[in-house]
Amino acid sequence: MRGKNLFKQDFNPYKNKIKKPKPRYRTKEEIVDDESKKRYTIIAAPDNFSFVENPEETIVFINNLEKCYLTRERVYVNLQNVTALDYSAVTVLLSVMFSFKARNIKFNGNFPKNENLAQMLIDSEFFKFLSRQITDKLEYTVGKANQIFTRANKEVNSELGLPVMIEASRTIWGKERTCKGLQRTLLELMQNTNNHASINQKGEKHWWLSINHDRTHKKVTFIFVDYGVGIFESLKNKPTDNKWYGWFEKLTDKLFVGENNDIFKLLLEGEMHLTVTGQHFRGKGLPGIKQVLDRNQISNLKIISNNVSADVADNKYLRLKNQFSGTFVTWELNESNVNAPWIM
Amino acid sequence: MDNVTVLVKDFSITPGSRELDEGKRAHTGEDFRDNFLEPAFKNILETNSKLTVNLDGTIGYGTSWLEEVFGGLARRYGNDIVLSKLNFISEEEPYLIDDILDYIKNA
Repeated sequence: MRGKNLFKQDFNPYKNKIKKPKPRYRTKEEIVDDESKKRYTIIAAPDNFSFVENPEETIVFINNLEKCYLTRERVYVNLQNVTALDYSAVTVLLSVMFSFKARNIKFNGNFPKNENLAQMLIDSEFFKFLSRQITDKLEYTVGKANQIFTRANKEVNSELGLPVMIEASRTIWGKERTCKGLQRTLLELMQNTNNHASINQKGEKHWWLSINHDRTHKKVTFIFVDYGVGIFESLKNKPTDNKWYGWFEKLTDKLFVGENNDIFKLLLEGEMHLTVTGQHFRGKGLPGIKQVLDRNQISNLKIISNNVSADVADNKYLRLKNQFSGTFVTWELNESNVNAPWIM
Repeated sequence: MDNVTVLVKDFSITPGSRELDEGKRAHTGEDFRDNFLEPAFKNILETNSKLTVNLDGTIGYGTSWLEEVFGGLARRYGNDIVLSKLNFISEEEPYLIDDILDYIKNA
């Protein structure tokens, strides 16, 4: 029996909702829904569903989904009990849903009971795309450019920075402004995914960029995620002719280093580059993004990769109990950030 | 022969990543170096002229683009020759010039 696919409803499920007394027996819809769930592996989202605020449980959730993805198991995501949800979680849900559907694996679930949180998912166009057939494509675009906008690609697309910058600066300053640090951040991350997310070859993994405009507080939040091998796993697998080959031994020869969280701090601050390669990092790669933060061109930079969670802006580098295979980055652009007259 | 200026914005206002295989809309350093910078560089190579690269007028740079362009040129022609023949203008992001000089020296 085919179940009622709640995700296929491309409308607000709470509209015109009339409270009815709870019936003694299951309703027809509940029976259909229960039967539908039997065919799926049910995975509950964390109550506090946020990569930023609750990375440990969110990583467990992603890892459970990944297991199903690899074994081609149908998944039913239980969102009913979610009490807190942010755009980092919405981006995870969107990217995971696209990955499942692109492999033609069934992906279903329910709405959060909290109406505001359900609306947040609806606004992201998550439900709209759940009802559609999705093929494995190079690029996906979801949402509206000046609201919640999500873009995925396997390649570097430097042109993307132009409309993103125009929309973000209109939200923040009410007019177009040039934000060179924003473009550098986007480029370094896209290039990082394209070059390093897969050990085997370039351009194998998608990156996902979600942009959320907050007009009230005049700020724009960016979320970038890939499900590659992550920063430390990528470093571990450098070929012998790569300048980073044997980096750990070179590093421990010269510096006292502890766990990955300590190493990550050295990496972002350029110390690791200097120690391992003997050269100044000159803003290359991830340290280049830290430099953008230090120049006040962006704010609130946070990075999660493998077993490290870094609140770079607050200089807090934590080791996680759970391992995230991939790289998650979030940052903000607001009124206080360095900007210049529009270039055109 | 007069000194020559190359404006990056004539190539693209969205210069992107390093190599051609990284994307159809990546506006790569490899493309800029091979099709804009190097032809102009060759023209002044045997003369007393200098080539000025004006970096202003774009929405920003990734480091790999800069390294591929200028480090890449130095790998072909030698660090000293490239350093002696190139000048830079970067009023919008003055710190880029130090980075570029370092890419050339360490190419």
